[in-house]
Amino acid sequence: MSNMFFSYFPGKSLIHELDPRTKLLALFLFSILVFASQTLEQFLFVFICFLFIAFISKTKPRVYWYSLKPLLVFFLLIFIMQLLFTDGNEIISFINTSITYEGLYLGLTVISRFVFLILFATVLTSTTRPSMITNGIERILRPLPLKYLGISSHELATMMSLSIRFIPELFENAKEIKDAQVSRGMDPSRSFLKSISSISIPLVSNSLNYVEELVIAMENRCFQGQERTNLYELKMDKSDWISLLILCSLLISYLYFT
Amino acid sequence: MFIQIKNVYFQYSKGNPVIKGIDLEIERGEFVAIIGKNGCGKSTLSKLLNGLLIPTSGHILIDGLNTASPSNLLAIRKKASIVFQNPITQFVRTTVEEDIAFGPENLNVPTDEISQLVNNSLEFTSMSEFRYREPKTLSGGQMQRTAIAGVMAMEPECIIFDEVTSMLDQKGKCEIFAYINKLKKIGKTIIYVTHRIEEVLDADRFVHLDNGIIDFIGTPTDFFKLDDLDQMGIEVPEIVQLYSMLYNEGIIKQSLEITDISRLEENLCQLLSEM
Ligand SMILES: Nc1ncnc2c1ncn2[C@@H]1O[C@H](COP(=O)(O)OP(=O)(O)OP(=O)(O)O)[C@@H](O)[C@H]1O
Ligand SMILES: [Mg+2]
Repeated sequence: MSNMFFSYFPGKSLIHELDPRTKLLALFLFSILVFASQTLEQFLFVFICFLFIAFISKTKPRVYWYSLKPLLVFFLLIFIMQLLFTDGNEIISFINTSITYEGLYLGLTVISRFVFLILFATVLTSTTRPSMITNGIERILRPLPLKYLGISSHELATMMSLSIRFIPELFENAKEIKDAQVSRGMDPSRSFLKSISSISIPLVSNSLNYVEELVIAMENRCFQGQERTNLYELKMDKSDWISLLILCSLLISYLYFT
Repeated sequence: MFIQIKNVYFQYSKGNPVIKGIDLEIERGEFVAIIGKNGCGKSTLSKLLNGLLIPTSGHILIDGLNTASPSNLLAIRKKASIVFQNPITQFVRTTVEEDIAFGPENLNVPTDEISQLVNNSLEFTSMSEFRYREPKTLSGGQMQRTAIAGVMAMEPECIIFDEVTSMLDQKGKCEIFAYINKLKKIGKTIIYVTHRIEEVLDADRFVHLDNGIIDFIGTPTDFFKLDDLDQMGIEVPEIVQLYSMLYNEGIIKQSLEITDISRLEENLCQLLSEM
């Protein structure tokens, strides 16, 4: 279940077909929209935009739930913080804190923003192969003068795709180590710190072996970290430009009229 | 000569040589098995072959190119490529087709040619139906087939297999052997590294490595005629043991070729029934 978090779901829809760069830019524009929203009507507008896009992407509702679910605790925490630590007109008061209208309002706004960001990001990740997202980011970054930072857009893209590939693998490994240690008598509930070290030390040593083998496997297949071609060439179609045009005009008029 | 190894030494750390003076020549289209105990330096030798490691002294030429010269490395790795033991760490991308494309992408092959190479390799290893799969949904055998396809996509003349079946179950092993045989048939030079002799009885030559030194080069048939196999710590397949015993005792006079366990069984049965 946890591996459904921000997963790609193959399908055929207008959104699936768009160039990843279009989708990345759209996500950026929608983020501006989300952060510029404050009132109920504005959030309603954002919600309608989301519904529209979600509808044409044909993504199943549970996919959005997979992305939101692991973050619920985090949302709740933020909400409580805002609720308790914002000054203003009291609703009810406890011993030395009080819940205010302003707190409630701010809490709801912050959470709505996070939720919408996650939802829009899910549209991107569920309709775009991870490798296409990294390709898209690579192409967007390519004109930037990254070489002054001693790094190329190709290296960045490789780093991203390796993280996508191997971070879940490390989680898996941590779980295996934990199971192995538990079967040798480790009791995580008894001594937390000791458990942490007895899991993290083998994990670090395994990861180093992992990285060493990985680097050798990449060199074996002629990896050089420089300019490389790609199995999929990115191409902006008419539909990409039209989508971007619609989005930009929507955003501009929205910012202008509110 | 396709591969020339001349008086090669190699050490990971000072004072601890792992490869201690090796000479070996391998021709195009040959099937060579490199055998030896755990830790005798087999993997080190295979990494030396395409410049993943560079000899401390001596030199290695692949098709005339010296592995010690950095400008030769890409050309060398395109000619001789390794399939490794661990299916997981050599699967570097997120799906099968992207993983196969990784080599050609690094070699700056144009996009449409890459997809042609990927299609051919997928077909060769019968992985087409798994094209869009992620590694975690594949069996070990299927992952190793992807690794073979990934190497094939660079169109090397020589493929080096380093204990590729040791993490696989019986079914996975059979799958891999089938594709290695197929590679042999299309004329690739194959170097198969293993410590399990029964996997490579059909090799053209055995190279036995002991503690960084080659102490035998020759046909499998000649290898089993050595009388100190026990001391060398070799586990001889039972049927071969039986044959050697009968031959050494003079019960069987004909010398049989040892290239295939089932063939040997058949021939042995026939000889015994004629007696
Ligand atoms: N990266 C390394 N750094 C230092 N020493 C190493 C390294 N890799 C291998 N060795 C050492 O070199 C020797 C030969 O190792 P190598 O992996 O080549 O043996 P092998 O014949 O492939 O063994 P196996 O059958 O276990 O795969 C071993 O003693 C090993 O400890
Ligand atoms: Mg080895």
